[in-house]
Amino acid sequence: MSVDSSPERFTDGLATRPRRRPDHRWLTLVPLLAVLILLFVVPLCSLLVDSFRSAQGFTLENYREQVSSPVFWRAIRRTLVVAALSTGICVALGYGMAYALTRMPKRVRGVLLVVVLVPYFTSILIRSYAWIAILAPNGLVAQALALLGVETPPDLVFNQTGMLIGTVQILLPLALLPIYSVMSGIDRAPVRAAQSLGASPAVAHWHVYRPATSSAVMAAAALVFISTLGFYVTPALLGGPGDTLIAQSILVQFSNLVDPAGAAAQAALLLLIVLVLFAILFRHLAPSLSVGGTEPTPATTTARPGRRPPRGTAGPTERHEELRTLRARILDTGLDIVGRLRLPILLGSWILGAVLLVTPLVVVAIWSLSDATYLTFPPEEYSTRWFADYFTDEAWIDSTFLSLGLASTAAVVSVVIGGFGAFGLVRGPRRPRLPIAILVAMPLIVPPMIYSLGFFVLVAPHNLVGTRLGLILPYVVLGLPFSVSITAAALRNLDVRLENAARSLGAGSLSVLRHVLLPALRPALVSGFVFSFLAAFDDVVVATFMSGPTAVTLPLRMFQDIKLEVSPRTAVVAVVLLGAGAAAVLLRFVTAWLVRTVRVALSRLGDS
Amino acid sequence: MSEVSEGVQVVDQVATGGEVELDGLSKRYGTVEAVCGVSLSIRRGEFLAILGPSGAGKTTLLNMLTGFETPTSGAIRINGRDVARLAPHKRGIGVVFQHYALFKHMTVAQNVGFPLRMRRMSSREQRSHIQHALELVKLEGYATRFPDQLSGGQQQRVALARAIVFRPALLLMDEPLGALDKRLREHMRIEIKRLQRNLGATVIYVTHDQGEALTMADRVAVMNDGAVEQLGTPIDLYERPASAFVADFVGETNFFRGRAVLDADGRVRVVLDGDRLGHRREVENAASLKPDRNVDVGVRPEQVSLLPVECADGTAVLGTVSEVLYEGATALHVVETAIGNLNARLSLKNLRETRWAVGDQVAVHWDARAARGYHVAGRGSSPSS
Ligand SMILES: Nc1ncnc2c1ncn2[C@@H]1O[C@H](COP(=O)(O)OP(=O)(O)OP(=O)(O)O)[C@@H](O)[C@H]1O
Ligand SMILES: [Mg+2]
Repeated sequence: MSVDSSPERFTDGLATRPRRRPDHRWLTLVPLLAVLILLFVVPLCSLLVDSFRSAQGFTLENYREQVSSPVFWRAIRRTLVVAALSTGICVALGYGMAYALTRMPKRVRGVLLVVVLVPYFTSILIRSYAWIAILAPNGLVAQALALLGVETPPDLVFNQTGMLIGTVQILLPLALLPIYSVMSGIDRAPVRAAQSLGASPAVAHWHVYRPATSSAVMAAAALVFISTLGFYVTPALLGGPGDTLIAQSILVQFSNLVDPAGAAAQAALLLLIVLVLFAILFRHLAPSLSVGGTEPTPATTTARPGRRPPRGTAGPTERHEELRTLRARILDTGLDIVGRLRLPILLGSWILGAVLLVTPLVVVAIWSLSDATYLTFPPEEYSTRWFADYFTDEAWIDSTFLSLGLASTAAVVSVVIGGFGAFGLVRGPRRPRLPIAILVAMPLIVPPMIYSLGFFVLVAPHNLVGTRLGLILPYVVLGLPFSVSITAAALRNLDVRLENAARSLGAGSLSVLRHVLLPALRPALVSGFVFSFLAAFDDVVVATFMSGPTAVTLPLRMFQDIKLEVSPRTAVVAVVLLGAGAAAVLLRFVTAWLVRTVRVALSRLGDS
Repeated sequence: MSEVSEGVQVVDQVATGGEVELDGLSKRYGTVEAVCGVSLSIRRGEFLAILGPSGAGKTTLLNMLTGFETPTSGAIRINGRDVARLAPHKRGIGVVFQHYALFKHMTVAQNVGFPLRMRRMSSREQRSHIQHALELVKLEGYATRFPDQLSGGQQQRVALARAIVFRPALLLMDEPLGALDKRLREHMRIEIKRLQRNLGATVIYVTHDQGEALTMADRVAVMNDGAVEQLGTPIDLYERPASAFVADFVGETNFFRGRAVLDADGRVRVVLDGDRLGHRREVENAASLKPDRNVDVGVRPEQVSLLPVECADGTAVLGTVSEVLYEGATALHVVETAIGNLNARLSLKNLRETRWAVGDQVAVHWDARAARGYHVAGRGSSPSS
């Protein structure tokens, strides 16, 4: 039994005992649960119901049809293969890069983290699109190869290779960041101890350091794998016509083949796979859920990778012993080689990773200045005509403002609901915490294609399709996992006694909120807003279903534009968005600096 | 049966300690000279304590011994072999780290067995060695526990067992008792000392606790600002400190500023600042003092006696008791005098008749053999400030 040393358990007890009043803090969970159940659980359930429905009533025919269709199986198999490959590459690359980061001086670390974070915050759509320019037959790679004398470059895009490259690039930060955050907290003393006890650096790493990261690695792998299962935009842009993954297959079934029941059955099967995986990997994912401070989480009680020590007198046989030494010797030889090559390996992983992450952004920036109407890279002539084109095209400008409006409205709603929900989750009753946290994480786990389909089918009869409300509602849901988990993490670090002290000094609930919680939680609420905003602002899938002729969101317009012809227009939008993002960040720093300078100047004035 | 005999064999294997020689060892980080020119030679089976304040360079010195830092210059020889550029895992030095650095995901037995596993020992042999090492540190029943199921003292012992199980010739410890409470610390001192005697290993023990250094070590090296200020037995260190720093750092010392003068008889004596009578006082190390230099005279509080004013002879300094702090067996008296405030630690047994109270006039006296003079470097101020 591990000892629960969470301070909360202690302070909670202190906090509630003297107060006889019943605790009503759980009430703040109501809006969150209402939204999640009405807008998320109900659509998914109705999708499930649809998958069993036929003109005659209940049927298993939809499933039978899908399960017996080789097309469907091929899509499933392809999806699993792509997911497994990208998970392997992302985790291996991310592990090397994260480890290299922890061994670097602080300043270099900051710069390299920016290299990871900027692409991470750039829209998936834009990054996928950039890969077309890089990998296309007359793109960057082909040109470079031609310079080297390779006449017929390999096909890199519109097939599984392109799909894989794009997917790895997009999910690499998702693997790297959690691994890095765990690694940066690892004490190096045991590694040194192992070395002093006779382990070479690589052997010490293997026996002592690696076990400390294994949970984070599993969590990263789970995140990447589950995300890839539902990937739509990247495969749709970078894959070939025959390379549909399962999310695309659902859409095709629904809109091209006009078979809603079949699409529902496929969605239900994918959902089943995702949920089973989630359940299997749950103990690794649990630490990143917004729980914490509950009963010992499964991760802390069961994740004890140490092998049981040999028991009793039944010693191993000679043969067994020999095998064991042999295995150890092979492992050590392997580790020895890796240990000798560790510098080239770490350096190589960073070069590869940095090239993967940064090239798309650079290419987009250059391409936006191209004069051509089609894809050539590098551009033969430069001009700003596509910028002019964008800024004078009313449809594009309308879409931009529509998306900005939708995303910020949805993000505000999601931060408010998620903020209260996080309070209820952290300060409210203990027992329902885990199920609620799982429910909150679900919009992130369930592939957007499944959710969007469910939502669309449910609301289609109610004139919501093509309206702003119809887009905002699912966007609120997509933002909630971020706003709740970020706020909950901040709340957990906030001493509950602060609130109690304020209450004991006569502050009512509203005053506590205004004077204690809001100031302390502001950074968390802001980053919750940013993440929720991006979730909505990057979305293509929901918009595919819920946009109408009068409301085409910017990502959807870009997506359709790219599908139609690969022109520099999307690059222009990307540059405008990146520029706006950079300006916002810069503005924040500049104002902070200004405020500080003014304050210092004022205090000087006051002193003299 | 066979296991027992193997265990016995290990015990018999006594006096394997290594000889260590440091020769002009230096380490520089940018502009910081963390260790400068340390030369030490440590005998086979010796227990050497390295004592010094925070930032003195103790850990840096140890890291060069273990191989986690490469010296900027100088040599390290273990049993005559220069190891300064050998990788840590090839040195075969047992290290007990400050916060134990146990492997959290391994059981006690796996922790202790780790160095044996690295040395490809068969698991049967490993088991008997582990068993024996755990017996030595009195943790027999704990083999299957994980480190976080142990108390601090038990974790400390596991770290110790892990460092000795492969019978290293040299055992290094960096403040191994730093995280333990006082009683346990005192208990573990005895345990470590006993273990070292049984094993015959050479031990280098880093600490900033002078009590540990004095009670455990055969010799103590006092470090300050990257250099060794004094190397000697605990008695040397306490009774004949080589510098004001050592006098102040090891035990307590009252310092009085004064000036060395050459007397007619050819001896150097010291006149204390503020001494109205200008009495020329003898110090124990007069021979090493140069005349006409500023000198700090150090006297340990327990060497100071307080007498009634009536008993004062010509050499006594008069003063007023300003504070009396009860310490159990002793009482610390703070006395204000013309030569400065001083502390006198008086044993209560001897105070049965005359107890001093705050405000009492006293004559302060000490034996000339208990006073030592230290040259004041440049215009430096007294270290007892
Ligand atoms: N990696 C490093 N880079 C720069 N300076 C360092 C480094 N390691 C140590 N130092 C400096 O070297 C000096 C000696 O440090 P060291 O850790 O050896 O002291 P210490 O005697 O072990 O102190 P403590 O008792 O606090 O552990 C200090 O001034 C420290 O700031
Ligand atoms: Mg140290």
